[in-house]
Amino acid sequence: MLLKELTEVYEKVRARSSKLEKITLVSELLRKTPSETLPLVCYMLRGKIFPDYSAQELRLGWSSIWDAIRAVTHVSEEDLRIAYNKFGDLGSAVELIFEQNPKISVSLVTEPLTVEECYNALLKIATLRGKESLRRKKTILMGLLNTSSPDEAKFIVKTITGEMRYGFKQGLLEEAIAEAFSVDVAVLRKAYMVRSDIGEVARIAKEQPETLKELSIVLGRPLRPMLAETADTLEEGFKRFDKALFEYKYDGARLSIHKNDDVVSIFTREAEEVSTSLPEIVEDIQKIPHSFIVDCEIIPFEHSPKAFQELIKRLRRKHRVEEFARKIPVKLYVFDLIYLDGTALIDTPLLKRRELLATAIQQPTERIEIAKCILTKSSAEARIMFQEALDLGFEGLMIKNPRSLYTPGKRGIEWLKLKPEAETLDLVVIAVEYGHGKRANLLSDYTFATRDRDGNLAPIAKAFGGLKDAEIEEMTEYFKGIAREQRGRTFIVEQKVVVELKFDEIQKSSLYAVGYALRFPRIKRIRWDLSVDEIDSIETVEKIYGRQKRSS
Amino acid sequence: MFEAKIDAIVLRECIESITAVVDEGKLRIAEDGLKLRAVDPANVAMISFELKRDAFDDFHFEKGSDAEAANESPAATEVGIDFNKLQGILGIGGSDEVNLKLDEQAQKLFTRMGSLAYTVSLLDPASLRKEPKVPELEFPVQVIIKTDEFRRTIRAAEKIGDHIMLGVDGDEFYMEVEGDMDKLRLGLRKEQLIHLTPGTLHSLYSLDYVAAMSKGMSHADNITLNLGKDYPLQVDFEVADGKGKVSYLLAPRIESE
Repeated sequence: MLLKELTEVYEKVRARSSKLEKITLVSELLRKTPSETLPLVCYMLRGKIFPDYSAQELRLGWSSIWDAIRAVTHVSEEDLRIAYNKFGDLGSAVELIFEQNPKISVSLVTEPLTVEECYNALLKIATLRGKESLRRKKTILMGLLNTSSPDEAKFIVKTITGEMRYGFKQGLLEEAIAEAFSVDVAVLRKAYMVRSDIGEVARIAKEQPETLKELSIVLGRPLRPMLAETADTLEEGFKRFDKALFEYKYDGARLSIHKNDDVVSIFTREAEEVSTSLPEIVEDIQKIPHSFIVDCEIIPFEHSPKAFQELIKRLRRKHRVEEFARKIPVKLYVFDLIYLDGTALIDTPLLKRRELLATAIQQPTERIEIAKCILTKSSAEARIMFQEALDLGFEGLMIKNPRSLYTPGKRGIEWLKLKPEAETLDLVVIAVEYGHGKRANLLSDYTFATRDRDGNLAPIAKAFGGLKDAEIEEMTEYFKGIAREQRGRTFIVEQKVVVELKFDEIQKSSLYAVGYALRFPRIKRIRWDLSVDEIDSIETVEKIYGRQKRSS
Repeated sequence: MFEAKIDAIVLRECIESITAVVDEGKLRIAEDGLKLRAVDPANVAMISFELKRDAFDDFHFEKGSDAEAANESPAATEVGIDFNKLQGILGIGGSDEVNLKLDEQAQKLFTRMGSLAYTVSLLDPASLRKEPKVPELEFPVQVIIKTDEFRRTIRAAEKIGDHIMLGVDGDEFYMEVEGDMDKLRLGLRKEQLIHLTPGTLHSLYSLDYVAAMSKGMSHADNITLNLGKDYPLQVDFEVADGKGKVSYLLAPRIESE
């Protein structure tokens, strides 16, 4: 299949505003896509070339993309910069550049680019390792761009920079697949939930639609975690669920653990396997009979919960693992059971799952506990638990519908999270600036962005307090490594560092285009566990603003 | 089944001529020898490589019956090779002769140099690009030049600029580089060359590529340059004492104005 067929549909979809038309356009494309290419088309439409159960990422530095564009077109550094500043994304910049500027060299390959070739090339860029790999990645990209039309080049660059992820939405893709192969969208969604691979599911929908219903969880293949909405008050839970299940909200990292007989695999919420960095947890889990998948939170813990930063030193560690296991003890709180001895439990109500969890893990260890929970109708009881959580050093409470099913990857109202009053926002750093005085050589002033209504990043705050000196030094090095360009004392950086920001209040302001600003913002901590996809949007900012007004 | 014995220097010469353009590729093994056609990842350069079986001291090839169904050509087998890695292994040296043995089932290539045995994993052919079509080209001008002379000029040119002009002006072949400050020009009359078709034309090429290619041709005495006006460059030369042929193709640079 030609890449052109895919990019043409993508352009049409972008130009339409009707959801139904978008779905129809994509479903027509999917219907004529050959079976073996179907998964690739699905991945590329979503802008992520790997299935969700894979932690692999398409990583190519911004400067490499920049160099590759300049190596294939007659464009000056200045003109490319102007184009980039016009759009704020390299994909749209390359489209304009390709329309206006000739290529430097003819391509020896005259056949048009196919989806398969493009996908294989991107896969290679993602997987090449070792010496020379950067040069080779860049050359592969040059080859792709050299044979691309402006539309195709935009599509390719946006896929690499991750901008494509804000293009065609996951939900629309599910509906398009269902329409293309005349399957029930609910069945398809369910199949995707258990498989974490939209490409595989699409292919099954095409080839054996009748088996879609029977798909189940694969032990050892990560599922996307079920997510929670923010609750404003304790009572919200009772209002929604009558009787609600309350759990402590732990301030750590979400993990899922798959145990298949003796084989234990521990995954982060991004599906990255971190088993080898947690040997003592693996060992304890191995002692538990049964095969299972549990959902849990891990925190650094020595007599009481320790700072989240400590955990960063343990997860993904490859060297001196044992030493750090002693230095930074951890505790695992298991709060859900998704699979037990051959049976998937995602359609089993939470309360029942909790019961099964208690029978599966009968002997908690010093390091592994079942998360405490209470089922109550009484807000007095819930309030006591909330206070208890805070006294113990936890983050707040989870409020769950006891009848809730486990829906991987969905953020629904079945689960709510409640934090104490002091609100924070998770925002992404888009620019960093040298400080003043003793911080004149350190990039200590950060500019943060939220996501506006169109899904674009928009600045909302600037802050320089909150981090320790050593952290600022570390971050200075880090930011220099992901800098896209320098403007005077400011670096524009890749949009990947998410920071939790404290502030006194949100104010209406004309300082930023979004119309709001934060009063006295300071950094609470860097959220290495969050990606730019998970930052708080302008809707959340407005919600907090509304609450502030009500309470004052 | 493929098993062969070859002089270490000859094999190194061949591999070097390949890595000048590509890091990896699909090597076609047949009864009459080895063949490779591959395009560099940037689609700017291409190599056609051929090594006859009599370049080997020993050469056994038999098409496995089980592999037959999977391959298009019944008389050949295709294996994905990381030539960079192979070149590194040959660099260890220690022997005058290299034994090669292919295990298609295990997807391994066993290489043995004296007492040193090295097992190389083959690359999945599905991960490699398909063999490129060679564009149909006609070159009005042909120049045959001593390799040393060509390479010396390229080495000097690299110090000056990013691209190089190759051209013919009447009876003269010239190579010209212009940097920000300096300029280098080599002009050779017909009688200083082995062969020249007179004409008036020139093309511009990326010096990075020409320099890489010039490393790959270092063992050949002469090279043949096929030229046109703003046209690809084709360089032909022999390897393995005439028992192998290499042909490079390089896309020209197009000037913006």
